[in-house]
Amino acid sequence: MNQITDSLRRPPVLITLAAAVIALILPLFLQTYWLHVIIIAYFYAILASSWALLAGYGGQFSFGHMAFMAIGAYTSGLLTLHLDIPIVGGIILGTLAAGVAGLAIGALTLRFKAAYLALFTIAFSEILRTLIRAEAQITRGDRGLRVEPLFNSLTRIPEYYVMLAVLFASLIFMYWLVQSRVGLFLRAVREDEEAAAARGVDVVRYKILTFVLTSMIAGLAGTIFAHYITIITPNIMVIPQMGLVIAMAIIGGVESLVAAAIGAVIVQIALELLREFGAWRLVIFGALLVLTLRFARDGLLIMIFQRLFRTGPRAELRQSAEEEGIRADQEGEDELTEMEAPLTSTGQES
Amino acid sequence: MELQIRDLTKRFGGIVALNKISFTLSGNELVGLIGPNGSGKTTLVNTIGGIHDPEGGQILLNGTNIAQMRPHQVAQRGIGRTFQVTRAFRRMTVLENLLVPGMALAPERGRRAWEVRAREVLDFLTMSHLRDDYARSLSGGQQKLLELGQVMMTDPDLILLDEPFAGVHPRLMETIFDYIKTLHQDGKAFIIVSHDMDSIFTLSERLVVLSYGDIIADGDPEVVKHDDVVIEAYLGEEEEEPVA
Repeated sequence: MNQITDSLRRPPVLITLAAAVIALILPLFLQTYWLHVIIIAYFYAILASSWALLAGYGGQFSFGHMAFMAIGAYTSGLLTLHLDIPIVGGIILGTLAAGVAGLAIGALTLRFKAAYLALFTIAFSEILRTLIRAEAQITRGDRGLRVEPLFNSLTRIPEYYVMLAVLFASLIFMYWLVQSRVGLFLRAVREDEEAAAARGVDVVRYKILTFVLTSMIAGLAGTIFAHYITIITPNIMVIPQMGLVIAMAIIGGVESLVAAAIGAVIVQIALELLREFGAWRLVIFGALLVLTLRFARDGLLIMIFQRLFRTGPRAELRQSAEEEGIRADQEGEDELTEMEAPLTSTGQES
Repeated sequence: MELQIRDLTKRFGGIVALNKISFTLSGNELVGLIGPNGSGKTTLVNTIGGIHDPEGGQILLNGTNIAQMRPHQVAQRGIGRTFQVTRAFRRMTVLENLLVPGMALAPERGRRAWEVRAREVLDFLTMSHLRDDYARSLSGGQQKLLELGQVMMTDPDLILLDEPFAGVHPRLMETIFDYIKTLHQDGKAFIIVSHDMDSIFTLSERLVVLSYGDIIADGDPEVVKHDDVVIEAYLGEEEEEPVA
């Protein structure tokens, strides 16, 4: 079964509210260390869910998401450091810079087939990383750029709520987007670009729009991350980091924003819990990813959600409808072969 | 509505798929486009639809050259089309499939208005009960109907149908046949590519025959049916009766 139900695209209100309430009161029960882990998990949740919008809804497989995050982080870090711009200004300008970079990359690559985007964004990420390392007099290269802190708090609670607010805001915005006609067109483009264009969808325009918006969300996450961690290095955008974000989205469910975000949180927490296993935790994690791709291609969480919410008559009806469809095709083919159709031949492209 | 094809040329590498072909379609004509495999029928439809850029010639729709326009621009000009192999959006519901062209071509009407229109189209196609089903759960014939429904949503002046009867259940074939006739009576112009000779000869007011990228016949189906050049193109020189 490879279909995502509407209930998953539109997460039930009660579950969403419950998750929101838990997230809001969580700092009351967590020590500073685990609060830090959760803040980082939320950071990855923003990246994984925005990448899910790009890849899962839009069918655009980009490896440049961490690069746009880094553009936001470095832009805000450098501007606040060298030009004494307030942090809020840095966050806004960092987000815009990521959007402008997304527009440039998108305009260059999104007219071509998806493979070009993947290859181009890998190259772009590596070029940007090399550039940041090379321009050490500005970026401080591998030594790391010291960035103004968001707050001078020892508890990390203010930072927690800021990252949570950005996560909620980005999820609400993306949810609104996928429910709008943009979301409708994105899914059509993902299914079949040529067919979507033939139906009147300006495919390139909507692909670029999505690319720019998801780049800005990644950039925004990067700015908050930079001012939270207070030191950024080019290593934040290495390919394995990008792989981690993709894996989080895939394990959660790449066609559901909420599932991708929850997947990111669970994976980040699991990586922390399994820290005592050393390198073996990555083996366990890799095995989980392989199993997900093999047995739950819509995502592990999606599979669990489906079991929880779709084991009723509606699911059976849907299943029977699919079987009916297959049966109707087969019956049609059978009858066609029995027909005496003079000079009837089908299916050859001319 | 007037569509003028003038000296249209399309090449794929060294192969000339369309060789300076010209014809005109006026009013609500229903033109059948036939020819042996590889004759250029689908290439012509794809070129009119904006998927292929022609190397030469013009496609004039009501006097405007649409030859270099992108597919969505062609759709905006009032040309709807279906594909040889059905290309409904499989992981979207039937309703969503119908909303895409409406919301893309006239978003100002709003989603509610397009949902009303979608219900009308589904009623016409007697597919209302399938509204919330995913396109991939439909049979091949139902998917053909869905594509026709997508085209109907925005009420285009010219409809290009590429193999509308291919692989379709015989009962559904009759249904599609009837819908085409109804839409034609309502004033729609058609270019229909089909290998199904019974249907295309019955439906068409005029037949255009392609062979190796050239138009070898253009006229009344009864005349075309007995045209020696057409017979030769279909069955070779040895055969006498090319078409039923």
